[in-house]
Amino acid sequence: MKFLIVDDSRAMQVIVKRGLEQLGYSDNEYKMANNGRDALNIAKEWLPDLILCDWHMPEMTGIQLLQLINKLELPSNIGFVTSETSESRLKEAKEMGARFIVNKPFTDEDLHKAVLPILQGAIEAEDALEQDTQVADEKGITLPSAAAFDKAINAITSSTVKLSEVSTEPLNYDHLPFITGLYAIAGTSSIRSICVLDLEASCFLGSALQNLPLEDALDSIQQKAIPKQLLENCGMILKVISVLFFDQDSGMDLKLENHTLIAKPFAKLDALSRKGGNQRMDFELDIEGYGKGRMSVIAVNR
Amino acid sequence: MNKQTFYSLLSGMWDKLFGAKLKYVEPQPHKQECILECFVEIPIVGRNNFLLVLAMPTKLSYKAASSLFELPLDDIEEADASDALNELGNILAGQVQREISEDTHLDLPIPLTKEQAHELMQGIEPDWEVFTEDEDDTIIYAGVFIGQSQ
Repeated sequence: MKFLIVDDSRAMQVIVKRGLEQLGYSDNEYKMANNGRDALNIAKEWLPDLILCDWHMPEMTGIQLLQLINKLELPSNIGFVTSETSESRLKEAKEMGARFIVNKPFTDEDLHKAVLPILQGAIEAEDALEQDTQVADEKGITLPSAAAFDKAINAITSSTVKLSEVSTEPLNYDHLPFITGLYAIAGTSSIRSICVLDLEASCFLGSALQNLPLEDALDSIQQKAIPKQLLENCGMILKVISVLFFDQDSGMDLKLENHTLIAKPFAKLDALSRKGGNQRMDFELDIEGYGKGRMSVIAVNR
Repeated sequence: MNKQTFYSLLSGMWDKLFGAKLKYVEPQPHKQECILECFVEIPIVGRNNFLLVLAMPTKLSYKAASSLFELPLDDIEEADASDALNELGNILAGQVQREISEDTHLDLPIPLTKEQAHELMQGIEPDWEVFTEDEDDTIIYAGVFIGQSQ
């Protein structure tokens, strides 16, 4: 992933870069610019994935840079890291497509919450859900049994995971970020089911896969930031359970389309999570040696 | 905004950036004037203009830069210290901007010499001002002047 950090303060460039490095992604690349004009020249050539931009800078401001990025249809996401707190200005930036606004001074956690959804593709997942899905009716996919989930998960984790089916309830956003698996009919991108692991389930289950230290998992929960390794481990678990899903309409199995980190609620996920009946299953996961978390499985339909 | 809020903004910023507490101290203008050496002003521009001034001794601006850059104090150059002071002023101005609840925008930080700062503040009472000390008893000053521009 390529990051372009734009700030006329070298101190702030260093602080933002250091915050991004704390995410634990060693393969990131970074470039710096002191103003919007220099940033634009770099962006045209280098095509960064994410531009983290101050607002007030000499030569060209951050909002002017955003306008030009939009005009030139460059593929880069832009987020603001700024002291500017004027509501009208921040609203303007959001309306123009700014992915996030982080106010200074910020903690690493503030920065991570803003950046992770982009880094881990959550915005694309959100877009996919917004466009593609509604809650399933009586037809559609058949959710696997609790016993099937139990067997699949315990087949790959180093600790025993006890699954207890619990009553369904709306997702609890106090336990963000979530890791979600989106399941699509094989050979298509038609999403038919979602599996949501809350923060605790993500950290404990991801750790249990490789017998990672409990302290690190608890630290991640406290920081509300799921490291890349745990995300990838949960992705592996979500991939394993994909074999359990079957779509009745097409007669096809589902595959894991992607797994992403969801750092904040969005309307479609919220609407889906409020559905119950036979198209929704919730489990308490009790991961031996770690702790408890929650997993929700929701069927969706086109 | 009142003096207490202003103090909370300054000490909150300091705590978040440096993990250190600032303590409130009573103004002693003549003594403090001698100690404060580095100044920056940040215009907050709108229907009403505001001007924020942040000041500290040179050695504290170097220490702040050392902490922000995570570099040894000996490696900090004058430009780094000035950069750190400007950014601190900028951040504090953003916090003040939020408190005053008017449609304003921040302008770029303007470093001031000690003489320029004294000239600016000559005969003008700040609407809010606060003197604080860090853990080494080093003075930090912040003031907001309503109706002033650069």
